[in-house]
Amino acid sequence: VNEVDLLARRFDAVPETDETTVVRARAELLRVIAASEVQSTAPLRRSSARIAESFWRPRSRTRMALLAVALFLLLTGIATATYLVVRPRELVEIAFVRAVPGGHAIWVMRVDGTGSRLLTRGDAPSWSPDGKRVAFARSGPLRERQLYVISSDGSGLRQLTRCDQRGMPQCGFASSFTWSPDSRRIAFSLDFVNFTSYSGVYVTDADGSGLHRLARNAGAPSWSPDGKHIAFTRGNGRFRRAIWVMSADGRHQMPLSSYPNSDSPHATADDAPTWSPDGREIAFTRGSFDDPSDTVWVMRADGSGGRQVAAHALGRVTEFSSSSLAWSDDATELVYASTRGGVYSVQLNGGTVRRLTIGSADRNPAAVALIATTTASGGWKRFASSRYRYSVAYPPGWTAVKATTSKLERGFPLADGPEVDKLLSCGDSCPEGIDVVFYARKLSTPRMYSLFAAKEAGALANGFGCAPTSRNAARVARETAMVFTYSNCLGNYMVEYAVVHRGHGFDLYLLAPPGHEARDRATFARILSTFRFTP
Amino acid sequence: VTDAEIVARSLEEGEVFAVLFDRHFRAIHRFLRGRAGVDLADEITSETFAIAFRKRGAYDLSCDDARPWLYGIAVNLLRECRRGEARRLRAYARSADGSPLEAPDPERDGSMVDAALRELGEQERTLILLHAWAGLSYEQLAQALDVPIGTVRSRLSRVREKLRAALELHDRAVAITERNML
Repeated sequence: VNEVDLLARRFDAVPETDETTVVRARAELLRVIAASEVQSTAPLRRSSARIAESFWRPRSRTRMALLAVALFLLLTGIATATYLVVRPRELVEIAFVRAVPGGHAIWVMRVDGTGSRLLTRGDAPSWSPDGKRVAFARSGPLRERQLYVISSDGSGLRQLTRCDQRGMPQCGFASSFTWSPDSRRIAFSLDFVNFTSYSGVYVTDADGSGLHRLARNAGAPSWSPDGKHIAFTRGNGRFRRAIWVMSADGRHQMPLSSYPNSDSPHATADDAPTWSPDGREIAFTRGSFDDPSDTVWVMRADGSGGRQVAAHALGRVTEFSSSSLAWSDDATELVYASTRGGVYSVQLNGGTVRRLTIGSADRNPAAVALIATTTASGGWKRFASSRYRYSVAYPPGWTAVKATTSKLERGFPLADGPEVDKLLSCGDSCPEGIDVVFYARKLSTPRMYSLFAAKEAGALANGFGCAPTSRNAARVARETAMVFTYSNCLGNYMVEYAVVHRGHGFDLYLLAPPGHEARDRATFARILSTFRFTP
Repeated sequence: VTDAEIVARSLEEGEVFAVLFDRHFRAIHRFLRGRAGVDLADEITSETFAIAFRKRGAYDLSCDDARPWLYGIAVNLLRECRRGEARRLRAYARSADGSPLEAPDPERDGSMVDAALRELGEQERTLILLHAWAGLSYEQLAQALDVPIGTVRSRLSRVREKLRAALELHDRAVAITERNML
């Protein structure tokens, strides 16, 4: 028995909190909450007329193009937080977010990971459907978040929401940016901490004019592919939230999903409405406040035919993301982040659930915050976990092939710590021409460390003729790791990554283009033979 | 629905914040009760949630688990209270009642542990109890106390060392007493 156990036992003697105390304190909290609402309605009455005047200016509506809206995706890299957003159309560029001192910055790179450049300071990038501009957020000193737009070449930076805007009660939190299909306007959630009655779905022209509220008590907007409608979420004030839809001008607001479980004492919430590419259906998550895991639902765009298609989904995720759901291009498949860890897809007819990411992040599934996407034209899929640090990216038809089977069970303990999956591909951090960065985990003793690292390096050298161009110690996911950098190694594969299993060493996964599996079988076999880590 | 989502949603609908209360009030109250007695626990836990509600705009939404944040607020309040309490105690020159750690009952189980805990400074006690009672991980301790994780590691190992020493000392004292009695 150690001292911590003794302390824990001591805690057992502390009586449980009795219900009277809970009820009293809960009532007190509700009074505090109610008081904040009163505070927020008073100024609203004074200024609502002014808001209507200044923000509501009828404008001519341009015909919407039938371009599908690109969805967010989020990817976290190894050493820096990295969130990727694929640029639509040519699919040559990806925007991603990196943690930098004092905040985040948006970078752009080509899909193959080359040519990365800094776009601007900020996060939560969202490409316009025409690929010319990026909407994004910047956090301010009070942690408020303002909406900005910048051209993809880095010019024309424009702030679209501000703290001192006329009619705004205080600094707001802008999130969930959704572009109109003609790339002219952006709808988004704007929330205020102490003035919740101002919160809602707002819309602005991308040039900064015409900011006004479309719907109050609303959030998580999603613009329909034909540009005519916006789906959003609305709470009923009694812990229940449903999906609603309105015309793109804010009129004709009506509920689509019914407030779920209205006879249940448990609070429930629908969230993350996401239009299918053909505009016929809307996917959403349905959650309960009693359960960190959500279910995935699909309904027709008129609200009928709602059905659950998957369970264990992660609902709305972090401030960096707009939605945790993504449709496949042909609207037959949905991709969602799972509370069990990893990203899954579900076939809408047949209900086959497939895990897309490989890794073992199941031990603390609720911690996996991630988002997936497909794009209209290219069908790339990229997925990531922000906590477990793995990612995978591949074009349609490609498959992940497990190339190795590590054998480290016997007498070769890895250092203690959480099970960590680590990325082998260097992505944006790759210098030109470099394909693979290899992270070896530091082991508990220097001898094991060198033995292990040497074996890894040797395997790559023997299997592929790859010699590391550099080897450095680096901080990786808060651990000291040996980082080997290779150039011109495994070059005929799109993405390579490794998964570290606690106590089992590395497994190497290669992603192969369609038809290549057979041809490369011999190569995989070779890797397999060289990557046996039996000490 | 994760804690982070509840906080995010409460920005739009304040009353959703009550869900966070339902999830964590009991644990935090019991933690404070163990540290400061039931009266102070009632007061501080309520205040913790009121403060958390007002400051929810500053919550780091990438943290799914709100416990480090809430415990952070709670132990800060406790420290503030203790300062006032210490002044009161000095003024009245009597011990506060209902506080198991500050006024231990030698006949009770765990008095040995209490004695060892009293050997620690206030900060050290907070750290080890957040770990042992509230079950916060190193990373969560770092969040709750707003110190680097390396600092948490080194402080915690130092505190455990101290505790171990205090407990052993106590063991020895008991053994000596028993021997003398024989």
